[in-house]
Amino acid sequence: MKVTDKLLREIETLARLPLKPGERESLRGDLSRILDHFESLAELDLEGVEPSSHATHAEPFYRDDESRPGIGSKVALSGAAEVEDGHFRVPPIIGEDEHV
Amino acid sequence: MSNRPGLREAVDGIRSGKFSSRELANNCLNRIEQLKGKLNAFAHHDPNAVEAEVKDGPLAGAPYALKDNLCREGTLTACASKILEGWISPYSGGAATRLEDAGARYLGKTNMDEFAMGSSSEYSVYGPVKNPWDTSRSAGGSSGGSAAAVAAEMVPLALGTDTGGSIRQPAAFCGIVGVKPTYGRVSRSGLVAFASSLDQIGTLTRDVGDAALALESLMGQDPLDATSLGESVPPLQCELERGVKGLKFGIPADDQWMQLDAGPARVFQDSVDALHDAGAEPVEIDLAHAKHSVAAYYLIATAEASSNLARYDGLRFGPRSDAETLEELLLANRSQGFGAEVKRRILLGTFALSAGYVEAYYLRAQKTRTLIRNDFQKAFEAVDFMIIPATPTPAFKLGEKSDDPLSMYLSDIFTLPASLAGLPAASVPCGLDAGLPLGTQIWAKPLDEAMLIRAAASLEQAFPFDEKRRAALASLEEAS
Repeated sequence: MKVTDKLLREIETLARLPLKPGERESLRGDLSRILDHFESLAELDLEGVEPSSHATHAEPFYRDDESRPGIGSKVALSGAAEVEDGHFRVPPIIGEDEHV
Repeated sequence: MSNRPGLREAVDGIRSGKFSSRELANNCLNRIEQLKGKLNAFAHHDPNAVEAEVKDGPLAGAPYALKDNLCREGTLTACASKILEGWISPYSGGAATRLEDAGARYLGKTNMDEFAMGSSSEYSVYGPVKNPWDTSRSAGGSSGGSAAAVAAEMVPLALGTDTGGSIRQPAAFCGIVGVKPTYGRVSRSGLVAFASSLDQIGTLTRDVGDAALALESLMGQDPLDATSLGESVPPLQCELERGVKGLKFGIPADDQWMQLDAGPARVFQDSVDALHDAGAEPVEIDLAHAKHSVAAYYLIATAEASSNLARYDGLRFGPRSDAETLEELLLANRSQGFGAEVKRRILLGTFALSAGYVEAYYLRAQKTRTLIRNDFQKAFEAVDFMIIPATPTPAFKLGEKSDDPLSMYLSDIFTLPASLAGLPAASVPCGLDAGLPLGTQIWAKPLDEAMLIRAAASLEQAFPFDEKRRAALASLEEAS
């Protein structure tokens, strides 16, 4: 399958992953070649076959829904680059002119 | 004793007072320093690891290393990625906790492919890992640092993670034993997720007995991983001497799928003959859909990765780019923080899940996974275990495949079927091709790690490998 520049840009938007100008051309070629190879799945008769979303060999295991000590907000925040008053600090989400 | 013992020898030596756990840890740290420039196997190590004296539990203070995608409280865990540079784990994962509860001593984290995406340990922010047998070649991946560290006797035990072969392939390339237990046998709590339906933690050790000892402590249910299995963990060390007399083992019947050059074909035939000589009967098995494993695996794994790696937004972990708005920050962090292979996989997975393509790609891959699982279920009605080469070739040259992702993906063909089916699998060194090690892989029924260890030990007895590996290390040490 040929991955066009338009399609690649759409995928970048969906993935929140903009490529740098030098990356786009080689990645487009890679993805086209890889997807060409994956066309082999089209040979298979998959009528009536159930999809497998996992490969577990037992029933899922649930613990009792009881509270237990967590790591606490101080530790949870320790990996963040910017923190303020016990919260993650982020740049503005809504521009000033968009305030309602 | 050697001053660089394997895991069982280390435990015995500490218990009998031949050497202390601290002395041993010191030796390992010196070795890590000594070989850092030559192999680049460790991402970082902890010089303070020698402070405490440990000698209790089944692992009695023996040293071990974690792959750089496994959390241990207070240690760097960067997944060999720029996007997690400097990130300190806020808690310990199930694997580290279990090993340390059993008395193991943590020494450091090993180098790997970024987020475990790769088969050569070249896609790393720390630079490539080199193979101790020939430093111009890859140590395999993505657990290449763990494999090189164990093969070069820096540490007697290293944990790796295996999503599509990332323990077994580097073990084969480095001439050691790699074991991926059944999916769910080892807690994934604290394993930085790549593809959650496939990721599994396992061991890299010099021999099968060391793997059996470590796995007895490592496996077991964890309330923090809902997919971890509650079935009782079988004793494994008692399987080492049982032999395979009277058992049946499967070999793939499909010649087209199993195309091998003369060297790897000879080593595989030697493995078949050795098990036959030990009293087991070979049976040809038709895994009709195994040839579709590369397509099915790379669609499923990348789809899951595209979802799992959405969390890297620069807000909660790792360094942050300069940006005026949240949207700009998110885009800049991801664009600058991920390496080329991770980007390729996120984009491929996003495509496979996108409207208009999800049925033709992701859903077809999931259905193919069902067919592969069914093939195994049928096969295991006729045999006790199966064998197959671990890799189509011995270790390739560094740089040989890093610019050709499809060729890198295709080299995983022999490890992927067991990953898709969640089977326990191991690689055992069984021969040399042009002076480089090759591994034979064993696949067992789900939950039958006992059979896996039993068959692996039989192969190991037929192909003693320690002397060959030590000869390679002697050459490595002589090289300037």
